[in-house]
Amino acid sequence: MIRALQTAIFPSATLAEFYRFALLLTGSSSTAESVMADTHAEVEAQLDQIRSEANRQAWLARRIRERCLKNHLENPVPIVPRLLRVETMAGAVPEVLGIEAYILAEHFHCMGEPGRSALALFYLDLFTPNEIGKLLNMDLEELGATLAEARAALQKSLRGATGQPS
Amino acid sequence: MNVRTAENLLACHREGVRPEASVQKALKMAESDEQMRETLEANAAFDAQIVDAIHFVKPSDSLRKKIAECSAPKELRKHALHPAILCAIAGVLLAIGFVVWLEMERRAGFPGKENAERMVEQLNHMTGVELEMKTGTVGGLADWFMLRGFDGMTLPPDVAALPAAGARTFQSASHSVAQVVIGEEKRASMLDVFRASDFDIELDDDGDWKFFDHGEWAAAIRQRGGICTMLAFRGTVDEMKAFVLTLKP
Repeated sequence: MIRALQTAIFPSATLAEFYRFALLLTGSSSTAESVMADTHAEVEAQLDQIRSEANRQAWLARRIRERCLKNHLENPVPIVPRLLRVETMAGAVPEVLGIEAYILAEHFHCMGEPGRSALALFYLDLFTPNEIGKLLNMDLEELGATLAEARAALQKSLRGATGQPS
Repeated sequence: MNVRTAENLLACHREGVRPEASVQKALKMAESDEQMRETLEANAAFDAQIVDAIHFVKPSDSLRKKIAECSAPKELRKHALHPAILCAIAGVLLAIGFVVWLEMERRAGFPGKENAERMVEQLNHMTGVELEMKTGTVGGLADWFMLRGFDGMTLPPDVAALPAAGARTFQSASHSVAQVVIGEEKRASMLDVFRASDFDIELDDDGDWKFFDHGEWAAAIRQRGGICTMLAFRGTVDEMKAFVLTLKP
C-alpha cells in the first residue's frame, strides 16, 4: 500500500500535506479530495517537464490553489459551525481540538485571499516562509504582514464561533 | 531594522521551524522588546494548537487508493511509450527471435545434413521409370532388397507398415541406397534407406525424427542401428511433422 503511494506526483510524505492544504482552502473534505484527484489527472502528463523536487512542489501547490480558488468562487461561503469548547476566558482564543480540524478548515475557507493561502501554507510542512512568499508573489516582509492579518482574522473567526465577543 | 519590519518578520516565525536570516534578526530584537515578545509568545501558542489540529487530519484511504490506482498504470504506460524504452523492447524481442531461430536451426541441423539434402535433390531428376512396381508393405520388401545386395535393412516399425507402390536400389556416391515409393492415397512420398556412415550422417541412434526442407521438398530422417530412414515429399516441414505423427510405432 505504502509502496503504491510512492507515485511521481504525490509521494506519500507530501500527499497528506497537500491534502490538508486543499482542505483548508476549500473547507470540505470531499471537495479537497476532488481537487486532489483532478489536479493529479491534470498535471500528470506535464510533470516530467519539472525536474527539481522543490519546483515540482511549488508547481503543485499553485495548481491546487488555483483549483481551490475557482471552487471558492463557484460555491457560496458556508455558515461556519461553532467549536466544541466554549468555556474559555472572554477575549482569549479558544482551543481547537484535533477532532475539530474540519471546523477549523471551514473557518479558513471563509477567510480572504491571499491571507488564507499564506496562513494555510505557513502551517504546513511543505515550504519555508521565503518559498511561500515566492509562491504568492510577495517578499518576506509583505508575507509577514499578510500572515499577521490572517492570523488575527482567524483568531477573531474562532472567537466568534464560540459565541465570545470578538 | 525598524520595529514595523521586525513585527512583520516575526509573524513569519513558527516554533520548531528554522528561521530565515532576517527573521533571526527580528527575533533578536524581540528579546529586548516586551510587547514584541508577548506577541511572539501568543502567536506561538496559537500556531501550535492550529498546527496540531491541522495535522490531526489524515487523507482518507479512498483518496490514497484513487491516486495510487490512476498513477501506477499511467506511469507504466508513459514510460513504455518513451522512444528509448520502445527501442529497448524492440531490441530484446529481436534478440529473443534470433535466439529462437538459432535454437530451431540447431535442432533441425545434424552432421551430414548436406548429404541428406543432396539425396533429396536427386528426387527432382526422377521420372518414375527407375522404379519397379510393388505391392504390400515396406516391411515386406526386406528380402527383395537383400537379394539386390542391400542387406541389413532394418526399418523402424512405424514405416514398415506403410504401403509400397514401387522400389529400387541405386548407388549414390558409390554407396547403396534402397528407395521405396510410399503409395499413400493422399500423397506419394519417397522412403530412402541407407547406412548413416556411408554418407557421414550422425544422428542419435533410435532418436527422434529430424525435419528439414530442401527446395519444394520436406524431409524427415532418423537413425536406427546405423541405418538411416528418410522420408520426403513435396510440401512443408509442418505437413511432414503432421504425417510423421500419423505413423504407428
